[in-house]
Amino acid sequence: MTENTGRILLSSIGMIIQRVIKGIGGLTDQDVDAIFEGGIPCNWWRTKGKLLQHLVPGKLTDSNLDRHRHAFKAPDPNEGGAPFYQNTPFISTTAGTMNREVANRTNTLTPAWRPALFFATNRWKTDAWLFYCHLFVIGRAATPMEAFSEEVRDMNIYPDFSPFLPEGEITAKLVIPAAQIERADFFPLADARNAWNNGRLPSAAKSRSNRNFVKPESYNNLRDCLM
Amino acid sequence: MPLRAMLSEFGLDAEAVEADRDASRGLATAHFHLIGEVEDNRELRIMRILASATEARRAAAHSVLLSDWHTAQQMFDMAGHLYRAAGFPYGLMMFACSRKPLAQVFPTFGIAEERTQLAYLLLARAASGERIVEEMLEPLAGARGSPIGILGLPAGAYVRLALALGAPQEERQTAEFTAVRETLLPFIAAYGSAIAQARESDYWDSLALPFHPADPDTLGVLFCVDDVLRSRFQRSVIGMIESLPLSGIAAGILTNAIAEGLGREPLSFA
Repeated sequence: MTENTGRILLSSIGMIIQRVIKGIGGLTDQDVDAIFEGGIPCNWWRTKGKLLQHLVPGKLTDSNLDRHRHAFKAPDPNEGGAPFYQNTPFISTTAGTMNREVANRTNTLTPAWRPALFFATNRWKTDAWLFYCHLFVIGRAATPMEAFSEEVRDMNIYPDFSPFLPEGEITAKLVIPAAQIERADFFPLADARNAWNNGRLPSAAKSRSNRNFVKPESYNNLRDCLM
Repeated sequence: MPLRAMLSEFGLDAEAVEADRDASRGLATAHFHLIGEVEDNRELRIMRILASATEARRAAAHSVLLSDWHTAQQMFDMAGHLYRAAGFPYGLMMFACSRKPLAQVFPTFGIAEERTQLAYLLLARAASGERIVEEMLEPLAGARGSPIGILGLPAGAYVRLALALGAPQEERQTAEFTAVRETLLPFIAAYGSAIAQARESDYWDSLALPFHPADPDTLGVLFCVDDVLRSRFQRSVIGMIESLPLSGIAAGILTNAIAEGLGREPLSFA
């Protein structure tokens, strides 16, 4: 509670299953297979080679979440000064966002695929995969809770100014389980370039479904009728 | 030295900027092509127009950094037309950057639906050499403190600058020149501060921030001021920028961008 002081704490509005996109570049089909089996782990897990469960409470803190958002490359005092991103327990995803266009006093849409593709292609340098995932959010900050992702794009929950709000970030923790990854779309950079050079939005060259994905309707509280 | 050649000094990678510029230019066109699909839905239509305008503005600003003013003018012009189609006088700032004569453009803009947008109309009117009369200011009376633009300057700052630019010509030109300089200062200071903050960010080199180093809002204002300084004082805004307290990088970007936009080398303040 102490670290949440100053935030607008909303009353619980129940869990929401939020669809997000995680963009990753430089993957082979075998890498995608591995993700469909084992999920998308955080960099901390990948760096250490395993999940150090007893250290998780010390990792999932508000200050680390703030570092993940605003000091990604800065030295991490808790990891011997290594760049923070090497041992971040968080995983950035995007769900898109509506941005305030102050100049015109209106709102503009940043679709989720736009920042996902920008970062996944390493700023338009490599081919990219966009993974369509489902995360659980609860409409309030819950940084220490592994199960719930943080809606850092929501100014009602995270009112502190962030220049990165337009990225529409939803922050997952530790791992995005394979059961929550619906599919992966492949965007060769050459195809994306060809699309926008011809005035079209980029589209996926191929799409792969994850057979380990569990559809939300099979675990939410919708009780279907007997047929 | 062209601005593009200075980018590495500023910690920016020209090739990365160019790749992102090409993406934004193409996506602006892609969004533009989708506008026709939603002609009968005003809300969606505006959203598509703004998506296209935002990408065009970004492509234009990138092109300024790349010293590619041919593309910059095309993209600023496209953004200007799109904002005008959406009913936003903010488009005048885009036309100011595209170096389209504002005297010809600003009469084509209708009444500002959002009253703070009147600030852009006033500034363009003043830059065109037209007088600002008291009645024009009335709709803005209660909104002068409202922040507008990426830098969040109050609408009143635009009004004060417009009044200084549109002041009747007197014999005491020094006083008029000083008034322009004083009213320009908040824009320059806000830009300098935004540059300093952006440079501290991990995302500076990818330009993945809402604030762009070649901020079109600031450039639009500076082009407006330059038009008036030239016609009334035979001076350039570049000298004025150089006389104001600004970091080397901020001054370097602004003076080179303006000089290249005007199609000539920087002038001295004297």
